[in-house]
Amino acid sequence: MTRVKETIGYMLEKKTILCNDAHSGATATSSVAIDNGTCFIDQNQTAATIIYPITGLHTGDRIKRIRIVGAIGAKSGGATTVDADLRLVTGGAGAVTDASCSADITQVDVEADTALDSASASDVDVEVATDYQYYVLVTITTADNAENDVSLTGIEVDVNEDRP
Amino acid sequence: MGRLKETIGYALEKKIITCNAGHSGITGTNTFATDDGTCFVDKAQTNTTIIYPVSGLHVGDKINQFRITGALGADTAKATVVDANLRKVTGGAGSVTDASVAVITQVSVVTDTALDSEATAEFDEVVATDYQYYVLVKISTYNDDANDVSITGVEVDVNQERP
Repeated sequence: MTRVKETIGYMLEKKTILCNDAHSGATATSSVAIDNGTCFIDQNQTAATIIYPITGLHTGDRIKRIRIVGAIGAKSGGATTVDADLRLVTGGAGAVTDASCSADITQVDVEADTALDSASASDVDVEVATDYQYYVLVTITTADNAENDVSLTGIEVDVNEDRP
Repeated sequence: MGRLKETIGYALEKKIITCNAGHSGITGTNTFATDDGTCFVDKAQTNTTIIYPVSGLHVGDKINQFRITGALGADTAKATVVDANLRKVTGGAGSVTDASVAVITQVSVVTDTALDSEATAEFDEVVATDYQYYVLVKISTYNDDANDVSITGVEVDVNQERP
């Protein structure tokens, strides 16, 4: 049966966008040079940064929340922590402006092997605007034990949740 | 003024996603530091690996086919070999689970060849939350100046049963 709905924008449907095209940020060591499509952070890293550009957004989309997924290795007395922050950046005269969208996840802090699947602490309503680009800044700290490491599989972005 | 269109899913239209934002894997030597947007693999490589994250998928999309495209350099008795494997990875406690979804038939040539190969048969992989998808490419080149590869990218066909 054919169903119809009113549309105002073109591609502004409710959807979850998958993002796994990561690259290392400026701090500490992480690597995507592995053969399973993940970003790997080994033991003994302090606030290692990883960037997930969000591709596939359209102007007018409304971002509701993000999730970060992957695998965390940790042990008793040896914590692994993960932070993720949805951010937007825009150009300017001589410098960019980079700001949080306040869709940051509650810090994941574990001392045992844990499946990572954490959503932003509260929903947001960020309307995608021209001149802005969006990315998720991930920050990871691992204790100096062989058990401590992280494999990030990617980011999921829920948009247009108010659409049918 | 409102506009109307047919919908069955949300963003699940029939489409072909092009992916060319790859990066090097762990094995051998290849480079994206070229000025033509390709990944270049020189001669004398053994199973050098390249990763193409599949970006632009939506939960609920059905992946039906994928292709790898580019240019192969080779010569008589000096083979260039390409394998490509669409894979999915999901998190877990302490480690990820990484599994094959579909593979292309190995391309093995001994003459300059345009690369445009797809999976042997179509498939029906429903994109689910908690999974991420990528194409693992492995390339071997004979140790001869004629042997090299330029990969332009990966194409992913989704929702082919949609109008």
